[in-house]
Amino acid sequence: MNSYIIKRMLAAVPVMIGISLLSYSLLYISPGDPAEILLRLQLGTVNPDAAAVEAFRAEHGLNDPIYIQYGNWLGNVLKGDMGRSFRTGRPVIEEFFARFPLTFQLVLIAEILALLIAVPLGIVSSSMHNSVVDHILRFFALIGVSMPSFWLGLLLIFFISLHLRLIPVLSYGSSMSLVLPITTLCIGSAASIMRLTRASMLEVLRQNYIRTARAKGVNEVQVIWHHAFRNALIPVITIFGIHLGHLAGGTVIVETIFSWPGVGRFLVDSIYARDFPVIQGFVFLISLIFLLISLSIDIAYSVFDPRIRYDVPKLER
Amino acid sequence: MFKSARSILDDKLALIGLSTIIILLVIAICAPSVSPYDPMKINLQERLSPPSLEHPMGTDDLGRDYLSRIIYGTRISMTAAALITMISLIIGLIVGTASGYFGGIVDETLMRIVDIMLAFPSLIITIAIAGILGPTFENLIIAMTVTGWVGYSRLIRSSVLLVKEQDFVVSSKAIGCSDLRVVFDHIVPNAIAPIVVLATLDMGNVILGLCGMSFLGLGAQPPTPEWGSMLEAGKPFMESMPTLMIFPGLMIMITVMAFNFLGDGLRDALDPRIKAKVEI
Repeated sequence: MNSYIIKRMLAAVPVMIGISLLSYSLLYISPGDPAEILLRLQLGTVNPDAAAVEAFRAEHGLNDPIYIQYGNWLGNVLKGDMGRSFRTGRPVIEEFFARFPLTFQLVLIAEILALLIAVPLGIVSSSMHNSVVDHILRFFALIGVSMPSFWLGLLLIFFISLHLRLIPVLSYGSSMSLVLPITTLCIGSAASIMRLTRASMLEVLRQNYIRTARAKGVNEVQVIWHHAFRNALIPVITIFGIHLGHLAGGTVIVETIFSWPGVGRFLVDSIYARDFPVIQGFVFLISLIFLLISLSIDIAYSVFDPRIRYDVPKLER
Repeated sequence: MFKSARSILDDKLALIGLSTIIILLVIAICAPSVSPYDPMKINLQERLSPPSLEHPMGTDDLGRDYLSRIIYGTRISMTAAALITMISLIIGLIVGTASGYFGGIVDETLMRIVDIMLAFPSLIITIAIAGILGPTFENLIIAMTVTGWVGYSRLIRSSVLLVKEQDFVVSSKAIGCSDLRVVFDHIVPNAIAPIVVLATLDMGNVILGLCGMSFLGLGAQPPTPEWGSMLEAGKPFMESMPTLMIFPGLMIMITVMAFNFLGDGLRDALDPRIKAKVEI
């Protein structure tokens, strides 16, 4: 048990190093000389002269081999220093945690709502497999997963804000402002959770122990809730975790449409402005949160489902 | 295979999906002959005209015929999605086959890289790479390929591991075939078929991603008639001319849905376990 958790955490260490390496190297995939780009951004001049570029390089250690530069960056990151944003002048870490709660709030509410709507519908759909109800639910779920979130968001603004005038378009600050972005996020998530619940229930319902329960004369409701549901829930929780893990970045589009001042929007704005400390820091932090969430879900499983602990080597191959 | 084909034809949703995809492909291929106007032709006299007989979808803010732009958008989305899927598959094939066939240190190294790539939220990486390389459609395709190959390499690796142990592979090695010959003549053809099918069906999601990025301004730039950027360009006219935002979105949804319909049907057809349950 404990050895599983330790093994899982140790396996995350190289992944974390990889994440930091990739986040750092984002500066180097940019076309052109990083020193020149950074200097141009800081000074706002079009063409910084060669001497200034050289001085800037020396000052910021850009003449060092890349692995030393990376080492310095990582060392600072471990001390909690990711540099300052070129645009705002504030530390990257501060910028991130000022916005993270806003994004987190959106995703958490949307995902929990999605779970509450989708799981019961998925169970209904699977227990009435191939009936009219099943077909209708399946059809709507397919529409939900095929609907581009950016289009859904615009349609909601169009119908609810402009046509029915229920909620003002730009109302950030009031609690009403949460409704449209959450609805947008929730519909897409609910559709995919419902499809997964349905598939997973269908899979479980054809197992032998379900047949045994039915043969024993257990009534259908009991079979579904007591015997099938709990086992069918495992993949559903995985998807829920992945959705939560995308929380820091997956909302970029929704945040852009609804002018929501969250993490994703700030990242996109920084990309446009080539604000490299922010890009590197945000990508690193978002990925780190994503990794930590998937790690804790893996560990939570091993607590709830003993099979996973024992099957690890087999699962890997 | 015959049986699966039959059950696809029986599944109405899958059939609808398949026919829609075929129609979209025909539209994409014949774009120049089916579109009534030049999609780039600006006509300021006819700005923002509502749908009419002359312009079935109206015109945009520069007087360009919207139907023609939507039709060319089909071509752009389909080509780009096919390109991304193909390049991702080729990289995935190389990595997955090397990993599965050679095993050992090669496998360990490649799969650790794959693990790291999977640990990234792919959307964020795509946005970062596309944005830093510079917002052009080509760079978006590169960025989406960078994150796209990872999943395929995993699938292909496990498929290769299964095929590798089969008698015909073992015997071809026994009669002294070179590694290259075993891989290309025996393993690849057998390991990749189901994955190619799955990849084709995933094109719907690739199109969704492409249009989303272009909507954010990180992909196709105006005046390219790409659905996502058309949607973005139509946004300011939401009140005066909502059709400008409705048609591109509708096309994206129809396309993605068609791939999903077919994909669902195909998975049901190929998975005999679910069918068995139906028969009970």
